[in-house]
Amino acid sequence: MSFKYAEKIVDLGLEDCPPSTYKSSTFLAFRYIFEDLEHANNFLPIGIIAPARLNEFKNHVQKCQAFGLSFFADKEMARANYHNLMKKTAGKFSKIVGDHLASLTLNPNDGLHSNLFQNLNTHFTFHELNEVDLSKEVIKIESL
Amino acid sequence: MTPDIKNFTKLFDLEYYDGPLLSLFADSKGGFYLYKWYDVNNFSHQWLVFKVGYDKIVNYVNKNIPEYYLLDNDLAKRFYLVEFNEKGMPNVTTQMSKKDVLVEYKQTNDVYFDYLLCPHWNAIKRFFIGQPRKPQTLKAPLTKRQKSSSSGKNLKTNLV
Repeated sequence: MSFKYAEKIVDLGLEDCPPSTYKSSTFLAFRYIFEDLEHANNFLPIGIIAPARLNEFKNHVQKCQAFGLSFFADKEMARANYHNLMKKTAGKFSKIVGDHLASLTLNPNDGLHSNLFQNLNTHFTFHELNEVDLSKEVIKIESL
Repeated sequence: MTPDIKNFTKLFDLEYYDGPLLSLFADSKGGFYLYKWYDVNNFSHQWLVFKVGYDKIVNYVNKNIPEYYLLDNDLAKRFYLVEFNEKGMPNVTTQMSKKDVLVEYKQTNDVYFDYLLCPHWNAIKRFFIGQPRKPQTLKAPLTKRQKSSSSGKNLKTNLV
């Protein structure tokens, strides 16, 4: 399998990235995006997005996760997390991640994901395979 | 006097979602500063940088106080709006009045620390509480004496 950003991952000397514990499954997932489905940052990982936000990826896990995408497995958890962060940032969190929630079906042809239930809020990391365009997998966009 | 931000040492991220949103730093004298993500434009992110005391941090991570009281703390006399370039170097420093900050962040009056947003939760427990415990066991309501105490040491002793 060849993953997106593989060259950068190799340049950083990151082995086992994405981790061998990651799985491939078919399931419904949710991600914060901008309403414009073509927005450049909608499906870019934080290791690529510019400008960076004082990121300090100190250990291997963080460095590798920087090339994965954030998703939630549960829609209501995604919504609750978004509104919590909107309060904490005086309504500006949406300037980073958008103000819409995309629903899409991830499948083994798209990439690998971390444990869906590792975090109580169902947040997980997804590493895309090369040439995957997740914007084409979106089945629903709704306002947050 | 403007703090020597370039020489601050990062300790922990207290809130993180696809990058830090609230981070704890220390100056060379051991004073604590919070970096609260403030805004973004096409070229840089802006952060509010302000001083905070040990006792406020302990109370915050124990969910005894909402995030608002990190901003409304006696040590936070000045709020520096700092712009960092893509290499993480501070570019522009201006100041915001405390009044403006508190008005802008009044909604934080009912939002609390969320360990699910904290990538350094285990380290924070060791640093501020003394030993790792499950998050739900950490909350300990303050007594009147604790609330009136300004001593971080006393708070720590009572919480552990």
